Amino acid sequence: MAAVPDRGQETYQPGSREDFDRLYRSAYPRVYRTLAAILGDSAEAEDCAQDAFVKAFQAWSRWRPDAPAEAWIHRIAVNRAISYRRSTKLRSVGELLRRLGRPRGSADPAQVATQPDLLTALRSIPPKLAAAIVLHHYHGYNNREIAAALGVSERTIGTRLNQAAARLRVVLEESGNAGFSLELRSALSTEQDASSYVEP
Amino acid sequence: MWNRKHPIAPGFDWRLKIALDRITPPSVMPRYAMARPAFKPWRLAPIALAGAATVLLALTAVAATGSANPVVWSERATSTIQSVGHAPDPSPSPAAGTEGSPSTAHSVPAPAPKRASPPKAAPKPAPPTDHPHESPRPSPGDDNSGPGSHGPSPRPSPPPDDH
Repeated sequence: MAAVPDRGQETYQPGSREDFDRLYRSAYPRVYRTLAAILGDSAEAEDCAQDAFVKAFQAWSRWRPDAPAEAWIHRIAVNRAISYRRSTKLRSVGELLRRLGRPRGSADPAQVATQPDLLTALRSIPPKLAAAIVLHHYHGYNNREIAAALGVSERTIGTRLNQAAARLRVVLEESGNAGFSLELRSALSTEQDASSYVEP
Repeated sequence: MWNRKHPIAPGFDWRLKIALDRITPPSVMPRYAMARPAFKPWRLAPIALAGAATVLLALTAVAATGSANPVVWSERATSTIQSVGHAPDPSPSPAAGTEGSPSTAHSVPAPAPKRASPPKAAPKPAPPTDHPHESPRPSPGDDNSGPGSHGPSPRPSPPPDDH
């Protein structure tokens, strides 16, 4: 089967061990960050990312080059993250029932202080919506590419992006603008060009 | 990249990029490198089928030959193939040589009716001999005693008269 160029102009041969190793080195950091945004926990993100690559490796010889390899990996990883969140939710419901009547423990203040509010906001929305947001706004996929990657229609992706945007807007407004301002100033001093800054 | 009219929030894209770029994935051995390949039982089906066919063939050969020695099987198979493929020789004509011919002094028995089953081993035609008492090896068609039996040699003809 002929090799197909990937998004980053990488070509991969289905079934080739060397090409899969190269795909891992190229895609693992990006897949890990996607899952970290969806799950909000580094250990969970690593676990799901490794599981995704194991599944992909087992199906590598059957990979059809009609979609980029990294998008294919993202699909496996996102499905894995969705399953993980579902099982975590079921466990938390069980835990909640078990602890019914007892006050819920407060969140770790250190974790709250260090965890960016943006990632917290992403974790608060359903994983399918968070995945669409990350693939679009972080990885730069357009709706058609995201639809091909996740195996859904382009219209579904558009709907998910709109729903995610609406939910995130509410969450970010509720979290207030203070954290946003601090991040904005620090980001401008290190990343942004002064000419592109517009006063809010 | 910074846009006040962003559908989510101003600066959302680069905020997200900064937040996620800060996340460094752990450098660990990939799990797939240590995972064993998935077991696919249907790939063993042809091998299992071939093995079963071989065992069945061996059991059949043992039952047919009564021996577990493959050499015996091959010899038996060869002989069977040869006997099936070897056409039986026609029996010699009986009418011409019965009256007074010295070459036919030895009796030529009457032709027996044709038999349905082919002989296992067609006997070679007996060469003419000088010993009238010696009877030729009988062909299966000569014997009236029944199929599959090597009957007794035909009765020798009485010696010719000298006068």
